[in-house]
Amino acid sequence: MVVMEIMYSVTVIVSIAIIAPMIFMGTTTISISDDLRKQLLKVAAELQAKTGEKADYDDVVRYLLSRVARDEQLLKQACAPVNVDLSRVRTELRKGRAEDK
Amino acid sequence: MRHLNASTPSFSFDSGVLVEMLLGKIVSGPLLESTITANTCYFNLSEAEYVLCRLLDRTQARSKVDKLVRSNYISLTDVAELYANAAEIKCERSLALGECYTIANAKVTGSTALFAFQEEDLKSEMEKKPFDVKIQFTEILPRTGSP
Repeated sequence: MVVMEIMYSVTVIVSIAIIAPMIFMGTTTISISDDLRKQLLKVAAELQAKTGEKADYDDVVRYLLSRVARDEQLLKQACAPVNVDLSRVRTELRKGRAEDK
Repeated sequence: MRHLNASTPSFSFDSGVLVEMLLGKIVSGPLLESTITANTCYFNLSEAEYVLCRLLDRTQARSKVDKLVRSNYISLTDVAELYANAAEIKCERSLALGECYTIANAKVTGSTALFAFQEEDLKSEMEKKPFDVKIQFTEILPRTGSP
């Protein structure tokens, strides 16, 4: 547990170290509060921990926007009920996986 | 994405869960209401699509999976992040590769592996040696009344 916490702290520090210079490398400048900047850094650290690649503010904002741009109608259409017996569904998956073995 | 919001349970959806959800057997409400977050990977999506193709037809299967992906309600973990983990699980356990990807995805994303039903191979492996990720079954999600 302690090791995990240390690893996480190191990840956060590394992320901050990597992301900080990016402020001066963008093509435009936006003004955000210090509190929001800290929150974005936390998300950057999470992204970096997940992907193992450095994440800059651009990556963070794109990631957050992708979460906002959810399309409820598309999900409802995708999950529209179809009259197929549940046992057939399980049999097909079982059969397919058995073919792979 | 790992726990951006620690209070929201995060799940790695197995192919069976995807198929049942895409057929409307499991309600998608928890996703719509953001009471859970879900992720999967292209391997599981591919498996879900061929099962749907066999149950319905090619066009309907393609359309359903495409809409699910484009809805952005399920995060997709890059297979490149998972393949080594999935291979390690497959090497040690008698499981289908799809199941290994679901467990690997749960491990990498820090989520709970969610399966539609308890297969004998999975049950047996869980009894033999517990997995280092949490595993749950879709009994935790509401079902629709359809057969």
